[in-house]
Amino acid sequence: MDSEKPLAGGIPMVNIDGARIRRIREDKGLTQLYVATVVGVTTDTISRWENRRYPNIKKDNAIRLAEALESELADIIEHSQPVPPAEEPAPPPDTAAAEPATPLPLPKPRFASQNIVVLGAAFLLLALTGLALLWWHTATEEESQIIAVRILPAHATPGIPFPVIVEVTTNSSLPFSLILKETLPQDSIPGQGKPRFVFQESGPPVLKWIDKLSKEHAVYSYLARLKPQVKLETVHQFTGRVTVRSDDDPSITISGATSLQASPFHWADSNSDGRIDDEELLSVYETYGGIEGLTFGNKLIEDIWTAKGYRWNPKTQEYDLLR
Amino acid sequence: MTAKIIHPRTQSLLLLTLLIFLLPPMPLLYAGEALVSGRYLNGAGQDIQLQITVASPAPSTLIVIQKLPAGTVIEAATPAFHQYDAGKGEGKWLLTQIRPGRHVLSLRLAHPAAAGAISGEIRYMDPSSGRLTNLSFRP
Repeated sequence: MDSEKPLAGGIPMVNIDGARIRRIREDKGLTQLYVATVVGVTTDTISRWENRRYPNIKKDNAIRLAEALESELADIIEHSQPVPPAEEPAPPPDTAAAEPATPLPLPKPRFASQNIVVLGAAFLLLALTGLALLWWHTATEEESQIIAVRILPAHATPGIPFPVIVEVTTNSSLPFSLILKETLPQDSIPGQGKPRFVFQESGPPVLKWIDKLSKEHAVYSYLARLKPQVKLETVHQFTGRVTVRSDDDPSITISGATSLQASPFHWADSNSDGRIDDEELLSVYETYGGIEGLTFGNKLIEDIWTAKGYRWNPKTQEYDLLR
Repeated sequence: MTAKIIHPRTQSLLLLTLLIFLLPPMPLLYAGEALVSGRYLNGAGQDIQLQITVASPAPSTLIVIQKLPAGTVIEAATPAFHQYDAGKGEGKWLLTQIRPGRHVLSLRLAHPAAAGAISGEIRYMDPSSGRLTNLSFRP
């Protein structure tokens, strides 16, 4: 690729085409906030990338930017211009996108007196068009509701996988893009995701789903487990947000269950009485059984259900079944 | 917690109109239909057969409990029991990912059982209320 150039530090850099990025984003109706969230930078950074002609940015960021714009990397890279000197001196990872902004020189306006009437008429026409568009916008805009709810067991044994579900419901009749960002407790390890998530490991584990919702209800599920060394009775928090492609109030908090306690009782044993009864078994299958491909440990749950009870054995890190 | 999404008002009006005309007859369609029911095709002797009927929308999982005289010896069960307590004469089937329709469960006993000594029970979570539902049936 002719616009790719590694910096002295070995970080591959590319020149992107700011104007083309803005055009693609606007054509697809994406907000700067949406793109910034997907790429993992601020909206100021997206604005800088768009407003400068050929900004030189890290290739990783360019790849994520292309993904956010639902485009190929080649679509946003500047091909014809020579590579300018690197404006971005190998920044630290958390400020990867913070290039210094270079203000563009503005042309000095010159007015001829005979043009004032023409300009005035044009201004009036623009104002009337704007008012008409505003009226049309308010007449066709309706408030749609999006609700995101997390379903999580109240407790789980360290080392034993448990399922988590985030249900997104909307009354919108049109498809829209969303980003679901789920932050797990620091002492947890994510496992299988249905559908697949993007995993960000820095700090507490963060899972991201980028999806296009074309129906009223969608389910995002994953397995996780507390690290085996987690102490029993400690409480662990889950947080998450859903960002949609919209300019107004674009981000909502995931409601529902937010905490899970480390416990010697299996997560399906909801009343912690040392056995899994019929109601608990049916409840588990009704809640998690319908998610195709989510292996939430049903073999172990059925084994405990058929037994008279169970006990957690901290030495073997397994449940002992009572027959 | 809400977010605004623009969509045409005409679509909403169309949907509302459809709902007004279509929704009232729907309860009539579902009225009187039990989600799950059970009956014995053969409820005495050595070969016992149960028929489970599941309507739509179906619960995804059923537990079917077969009660037999205490000490009954089972020669074969189709599908196999998940639990059987011979002392109590109680066996359990766990039916997962069940589809609407009719399902037959069979047992072959070592010795014939009298009709009055046999009963069945179905347990499931009602999909609409989420509550545990028990349904008993006899030959």
